[in-house]
Amino acid sequence: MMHLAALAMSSTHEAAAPASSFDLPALYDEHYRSLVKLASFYVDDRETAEDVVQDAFLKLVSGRYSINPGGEGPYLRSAVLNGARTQLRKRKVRRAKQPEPPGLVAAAEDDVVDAAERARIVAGLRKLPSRQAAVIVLRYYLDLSEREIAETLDIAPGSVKSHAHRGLRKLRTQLEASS
Amino acid sequence: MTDPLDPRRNPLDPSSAAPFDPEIDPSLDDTARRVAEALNAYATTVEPSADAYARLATSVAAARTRTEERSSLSERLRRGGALSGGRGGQLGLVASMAAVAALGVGAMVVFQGTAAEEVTSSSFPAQAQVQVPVETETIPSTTQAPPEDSGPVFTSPEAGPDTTVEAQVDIGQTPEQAVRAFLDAVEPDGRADVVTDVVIDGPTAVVVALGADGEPIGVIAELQLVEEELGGGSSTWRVQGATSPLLAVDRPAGENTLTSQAVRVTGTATGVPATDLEVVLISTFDGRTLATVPVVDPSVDPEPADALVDGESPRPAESDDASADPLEVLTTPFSVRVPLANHTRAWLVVRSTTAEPGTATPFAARLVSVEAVPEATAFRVIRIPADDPDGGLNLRAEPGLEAERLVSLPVGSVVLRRAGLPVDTGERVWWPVTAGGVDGWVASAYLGGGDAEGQPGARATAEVTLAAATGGALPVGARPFTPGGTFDVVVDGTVHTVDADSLRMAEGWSAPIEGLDRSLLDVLGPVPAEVFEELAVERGRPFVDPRSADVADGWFGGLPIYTVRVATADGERLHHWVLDGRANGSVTVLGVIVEDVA
Repeated sequence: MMHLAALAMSSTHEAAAPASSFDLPALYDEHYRSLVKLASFYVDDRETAEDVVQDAFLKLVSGRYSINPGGEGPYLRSAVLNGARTQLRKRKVRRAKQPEPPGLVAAAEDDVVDAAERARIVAGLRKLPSRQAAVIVLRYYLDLSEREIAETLDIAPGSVKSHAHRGLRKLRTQLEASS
Repeated sequence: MTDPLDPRRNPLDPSSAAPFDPEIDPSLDDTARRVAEALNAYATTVEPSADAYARLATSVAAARTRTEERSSLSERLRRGGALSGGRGGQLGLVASMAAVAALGVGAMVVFQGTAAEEVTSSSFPAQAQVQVPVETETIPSTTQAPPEDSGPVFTSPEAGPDTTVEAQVDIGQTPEQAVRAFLDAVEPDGRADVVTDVVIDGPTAVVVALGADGEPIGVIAELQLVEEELGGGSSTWRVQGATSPLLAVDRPAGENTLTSQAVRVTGTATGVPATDLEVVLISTFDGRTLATVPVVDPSVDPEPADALVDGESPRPAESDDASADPLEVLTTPFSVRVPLANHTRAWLVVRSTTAEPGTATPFAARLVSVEAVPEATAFRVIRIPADDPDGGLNLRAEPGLEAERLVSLPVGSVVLRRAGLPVDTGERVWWPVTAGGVDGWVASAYLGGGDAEGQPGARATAEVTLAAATGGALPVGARPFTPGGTFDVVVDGTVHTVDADSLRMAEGWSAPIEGLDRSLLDVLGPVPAEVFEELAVERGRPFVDPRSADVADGWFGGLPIYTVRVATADGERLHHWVLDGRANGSVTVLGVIVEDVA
């Protein structure tokens, strides 16, 4: 029998102790930029993407979650994916009746990929079920392995493949339809 | 263009025979390549802002300051005996709960410690974050031993109406905007989207949560508005006051989701019988009523759920303050267990069932504490070691394959998790459990929903979890059963047909089922999302992430229900799938309620 006294509550300050142990500048240098890019696949504007990333960092250093050494990257990534998705959901409601956002600004140095197609693909990605989109971004943008993706998204490795497969199929259909 | 040196990125050369992504269907190779290029090209258009680091560092510093403030609060509470110590080696969940103080009218004060920065505290700064470890006994207490006496988490009955939260709001806002800014600040998740009615009467404002149907559910805040001149003709509003406790349970992805969670709310009813009270959880997200738990007479209700957890139920609030107040004619302590779903953000409101809902003081209760209690957690033996001579799963005296065998558990046996953390011996992860009254250890991989790592994602605990989750969460009329009809409950593969009319509201919806003391629902284990895509065809509508609040067909204790219509020889049946989308990334069917349709 569990005695109530055994259910001792632990206040955050114990758990928060590691908070100060995070090396913020190093974390920032290593992850911030790529995370903003990651978030940008989900949300329309850079400001929101940055907010999502900042929230993820805050969550990380809050000390509320126990993170294994070296686990900061995966943690931040999943926090960003979750945060971006929440933003996306809010947006969906807000702009249910609004037209699609205008195409993305083409980078001058980028002359290989047709900017219109790129915009279509990113827009298509945002319409995919969240897990499929996440798998595709993690795989083709961050080049994570199947196992790393499975860990980041907390899904079975086998599902990574099927999500990627389904997502790509849908994107292909969309691309074919639009071309 | 992507990195030309990256062999995987450079199969633009059509002569390259190697598949772009060997894991994926070759016919999708071209799409994969185009997607990869598009993503990388798009990413080059996005760069962080120049002041990103400065902003981050500022926010982090502010967050640390708040954490320190919380810590000092915890210290103060601890010294006062209100918070017990202990070190959680395992973060079963984070329950952030309000530091509470009873007002004369029974309202509660909450301060979210993680609230936005404009919230400052006057005298009683705040919510403490409490982590509820599954168990602390077996954790080496290197820093401090748990105190002998573990009192309620928060107790501050002497704090009066002066215990307030203040919010400074922007210039030029109307009082109503000020109140909403206050709510946004108090609910830091930025999700104070609960539909509320703000009733402003002179300098006071009462915030009433409205349900989905627009009916008032209960008061979540009583606030004072003070207009402050800033000079130059401009002014601002200072908002201060008390809100209901805000409960938050969040299990981050990847956390062990084995424990379900509840809070025990204790207080005193003044002037009305305690049994006229009910505790309501109102989602901060959309105002949905997540749970309605009537206060039952403690002498009648033996509280079986707690008996599983703890032989000593928490004592009801002491009523000595009743004798101190000669004006109080009737003061009844009450103590009620309120189940929380896996992910909950909710206002906790105590209201009178006899009073008009939405009135300013709809209840005559004085809350003493809101205390997290872990739920008993039950699992099922779903398979047994292939080579076991007894054809069962061994319950052992100690963790480890060499330990003494106590009992052999056949498939289907129910085990209850005991206090204690799992022990990983390398070849197995062992959990402390009780089976048939015998305490021992079992290898978790053989328990319901478990995977090889012994981190069962499925909460194979449907009978407990779901029964707990059903804690009166469905308002009458919204239950997923047709009155007068029947529904089937699947227990251990056996279908029990139950009259919907026999449902009763106690700690949750339950119905008497012969041979069972609780209504149990079958556990199907984690179901990959793909299954739902197929089911969607049957259903005629897509299944989507059940976490988004607006897509389910119904709710069952805060868990979404998807209903599938199934044709049978006799007519039609409705399968109500009760889902939890948080378990290891897959959708878990916690139970299926089968309803006959005439």
